[in-house]
Amino acid sequence: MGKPLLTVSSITRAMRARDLLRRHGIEAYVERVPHIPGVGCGYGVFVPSRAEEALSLLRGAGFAFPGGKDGTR
Amino acid sequence: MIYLDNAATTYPKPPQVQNAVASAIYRFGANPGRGGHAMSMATAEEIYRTRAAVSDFFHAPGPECVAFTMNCTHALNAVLKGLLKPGDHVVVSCLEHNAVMRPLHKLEGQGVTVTSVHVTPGDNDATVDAFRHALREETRLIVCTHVSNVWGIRLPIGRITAMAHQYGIPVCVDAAQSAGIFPVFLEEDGIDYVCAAPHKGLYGPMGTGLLITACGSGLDTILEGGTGTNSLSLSQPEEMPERMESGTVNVPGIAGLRAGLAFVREKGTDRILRHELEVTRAIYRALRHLDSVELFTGEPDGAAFAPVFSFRVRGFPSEDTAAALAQQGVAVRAGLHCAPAAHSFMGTLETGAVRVCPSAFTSGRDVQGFVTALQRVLRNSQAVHKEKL
Repeated sequence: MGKPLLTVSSITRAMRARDLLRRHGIEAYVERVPHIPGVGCGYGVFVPSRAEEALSLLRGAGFAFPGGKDGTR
Repeated sequence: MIYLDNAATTYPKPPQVQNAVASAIYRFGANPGRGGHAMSMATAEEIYRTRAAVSDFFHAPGPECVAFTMNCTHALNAVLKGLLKPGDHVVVSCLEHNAVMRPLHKLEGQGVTVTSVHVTPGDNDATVDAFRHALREETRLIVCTHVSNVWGIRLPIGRITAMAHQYGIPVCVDAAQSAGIFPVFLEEDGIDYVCAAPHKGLYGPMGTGLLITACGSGLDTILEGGTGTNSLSLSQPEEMPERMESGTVNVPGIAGLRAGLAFVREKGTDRILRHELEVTRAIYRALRHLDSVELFTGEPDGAAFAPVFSFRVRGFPSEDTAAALAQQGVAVRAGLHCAPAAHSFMGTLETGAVRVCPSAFTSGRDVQGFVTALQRVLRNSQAVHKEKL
């Protein structure tokens, strides 16, 4: 996986995900995702590094990724 | 002005709330959760910070459990109309505001049945038993006010919720009058839906409301529209809070709410309650010695009664009392307070009553000023009465 933008269902979820990752020492940023195939616009969490770990953490916390789990930038 | 209409809306607002609202208009002028540009994202951050603060204050599972509504009435409508279907039964207390009773009246026309339960002030066993006895096979929800907006009667919501959950029935609490002075905790009290009015005890601006729930995805929606995400789908998003927040939210109001919450936290709900009880008791004791004043409830003690109560002047319409007080510079609210059920309970449906409610800003001088003004009103009314004779 490169530098994934994890697309989530809303900006609230994106910010919650970002905060969770930062609490675990993982750098994360909320970004606008202009087009998620089959979904439309939305928001995602950009994770420059430790992406697999981030994905696992978020899945464990019940996050879903409607636009795909690992859309790359 | 001596402002004792805080049960309607607290006034004044703390300076930090006023500043937060003014600042938000300048700093957070773009739509949150819509665009990706800097101001839109900054606005979204402010909304999220407020969600997190509300979630923390009400001990909700997380910020996503907090939906911003137009007001508490909107939040209550969202729960009642989102949950109840024809054939369902709902149990309410006998003290409910029209924010609960009017939507239920409409739903009754669609086949929902309603049972109103008698509350016994100061006897929580009797009150909880009354709720238990009202339950039926088809009971879908209990809705109950935490504190009567007219009489200050405090309901044992934790016990009512524990009882209801034994039967698998969710509970919606109208915390309009209690949030900010009494603990209202989703997780500890097990409350399924909390509806709150930030412009009262949370010292936020008007035009803001809160629906706090971990069960929002299970509610049908009463308003659909743009949420900034999943735009290709014409179906409303399933997830909270966006499911309940179509359209642009009141950003300055929400920023003000965050400042209001910070004010309450800094002062401490315990300290605010103690202060308001002290002030309310002082007024109550002064009124108890006035022969022509009728009091209907026990002295506000914080346990059975919150720091708000209503009174009546014998032989003098409550609206006239309030109008005469207004001429003396005192702001109180008379009439039925949008709660005819609560007035029916106390036998004041025909006359209404005059409500007195302090805030964190009410001073001893305000108390003295109010009592003096009322004494003057009473003297004048007696003089008018004698003239008529």
